[in-house]
Amino acid sequence: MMTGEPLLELRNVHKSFGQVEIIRGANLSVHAGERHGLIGPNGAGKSTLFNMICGLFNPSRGEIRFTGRRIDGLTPERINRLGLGRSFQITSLFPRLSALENLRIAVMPRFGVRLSVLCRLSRHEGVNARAEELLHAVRLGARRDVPAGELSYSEQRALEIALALASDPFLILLDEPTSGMSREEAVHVIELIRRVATGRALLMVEHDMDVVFQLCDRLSVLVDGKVIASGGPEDIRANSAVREAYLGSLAA
Amino acid sequence: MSAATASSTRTRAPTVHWSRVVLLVTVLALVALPTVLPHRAIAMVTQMQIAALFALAFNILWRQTRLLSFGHAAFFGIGMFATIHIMRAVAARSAFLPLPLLPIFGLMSGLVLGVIVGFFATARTGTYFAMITLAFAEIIHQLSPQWEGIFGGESGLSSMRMAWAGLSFGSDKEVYYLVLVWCLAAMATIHYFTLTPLGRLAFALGDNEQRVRFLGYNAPLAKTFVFIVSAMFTGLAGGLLAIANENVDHTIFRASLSGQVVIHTFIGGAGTFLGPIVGATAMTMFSSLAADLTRLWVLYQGLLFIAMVMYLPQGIVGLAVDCAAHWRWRELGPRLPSLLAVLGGIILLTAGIVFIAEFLAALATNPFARRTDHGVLTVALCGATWDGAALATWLLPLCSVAGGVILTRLGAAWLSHAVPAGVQQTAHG
Repeated sequence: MMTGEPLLELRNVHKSFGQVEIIRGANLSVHAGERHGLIGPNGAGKSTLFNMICGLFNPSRGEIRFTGRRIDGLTPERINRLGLGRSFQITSLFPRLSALENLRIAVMPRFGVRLSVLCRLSRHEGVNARAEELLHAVRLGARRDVPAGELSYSEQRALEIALALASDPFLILLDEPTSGMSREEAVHVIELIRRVATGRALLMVEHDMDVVFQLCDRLSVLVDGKVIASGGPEDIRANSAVREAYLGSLAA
Repeated sequence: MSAATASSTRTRAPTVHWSRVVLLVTVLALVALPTVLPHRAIAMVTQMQIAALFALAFNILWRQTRLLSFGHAAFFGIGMFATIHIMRAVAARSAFLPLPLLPIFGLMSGLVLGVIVGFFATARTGTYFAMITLAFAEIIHQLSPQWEGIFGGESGLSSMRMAWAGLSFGSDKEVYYLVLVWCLAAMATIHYFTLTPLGRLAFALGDNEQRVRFLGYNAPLAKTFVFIVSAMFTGLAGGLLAIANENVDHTIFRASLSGQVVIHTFIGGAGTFLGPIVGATAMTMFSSLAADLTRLWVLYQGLLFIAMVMYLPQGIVGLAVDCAAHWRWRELGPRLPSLLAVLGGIILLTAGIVFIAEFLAALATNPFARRTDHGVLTVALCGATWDGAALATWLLPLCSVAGGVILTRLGAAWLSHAVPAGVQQTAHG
């Protein structure tokens, strides 16, 4: 079923902080167009794995491949330019800039105006069109001129997802997109992710099992720094090792 | 969406209109000013404009990118020296350049030094950034007296303004207009800069540098570019002062000048575009006027700075912006008594502190302070002679201070009681 080289592949990745080894030989592959959930108990190393993929830390050993080339050791900005966007668990926006301006900043590298001082950003038609498009995709059209710091929490989460999408990535990393949300807000955000992520691969960390089983077509379970199982939601539910190590502890 | 756009334009339209009117009036007033001012005041206003440009250029880094430089005297000084050197070359007839174009050399020297310092400093943020800028400025400060060929040694360098196109540039008035044109053009350019892609990115960098990196930007490079823009306009301000003063020596690189621009900016309001302009203008005028009255003006400036940072961190313009956003004219009436109480309290407090400071300074420094028969000093102050041993001499100013504090606090409490919660949040935010 899974033919060709995966979009993202982790091969025997290790990561130690001082004496403590957090990731102990993780293997993971995400294919194009796949919605992949990364689950695991607290302290399993999910965030560490995420931060290594996007370039915040380097692995101690092993390799990470993205679109067919090695990305371990590259800076976050290089990895982003290769087609990887991410959102943050703790909302990470530009609070002084308006919702629209947050998106203008996020999309302008694609139009080659990174560090230009020769025009007004607000007059750049390409940037404006793409920023407005994203703004409406996450249903913030009515809030375009509100500073991001003054948006409601769920609006900030929506903007966070729009920022991850802005560079038009092949793969989006979502770090607990529904954390701290009420059930209704979470439902809204899941719907949003489902809609805006079509055609892109998705790798998300999420604690809420309902969210994971609703949204993802493939799951990997990280326990004690190792991926102990990967497969479809039903396989994972049925997997005895997973039940023992993870779901079992929840059921107990 | 079109409805939303239309309504937002409608609400914004009058603000834009008024700010343009104020801007136009200010510019016209600045153009007309030399015709009514005495000579000495013209020179002072020239200095005020240069200080305003200096502070505005400094605040590009702080307001947008949240980088606090403690070494901006280096760029200001290098701009002065570069311009003086070119002026000397013109005076010696080895270069043929019109005087009004010479500040360009200040700008370019600031740019070059900005590239060097910026490359190292912007690799860090926060305290470490501040330390690196401070260290670079101090290196230049220490080396400059020794490199006489470049910095003219202890006596510094002088030159003179050469006539150009029928303009002699001999009078304060001509210098005033030259500086005014440059300052207005530079300020307009800096304002434009805040709207460009790099200018907007500078705000994003100040808010959340990590996120900028995850959006595919080379954040250190972007910060270096912003640093260079700031250094460039600081060098330009230095170039203008070189033309106005016609001389410069190595003391321009002193750390207190780097500190002064920080003080000007924060008193005016570091979070706003206009803050540094207002702060530098007000404090340059204050120092110029106060220096004639008392040798303690530096102390008063320091106390004012501390008081502002503690109780009014948003600065003069920040306060005005908060008030404009939350107050209505019709609410002024009921608030007037509490406002007057605050004002009266501040006046009492200031009077008490000034009296004590001047009295102590006179006791400590005045060789003519007279010993009385009882072995105590008396000091002449405010048109009366005060006995250092008399209780009233100390009680009076202390009462004034205490009364001022109480009145200010009562007034402020009364004021915030009447103010909606939103204003409080902004004031403390």
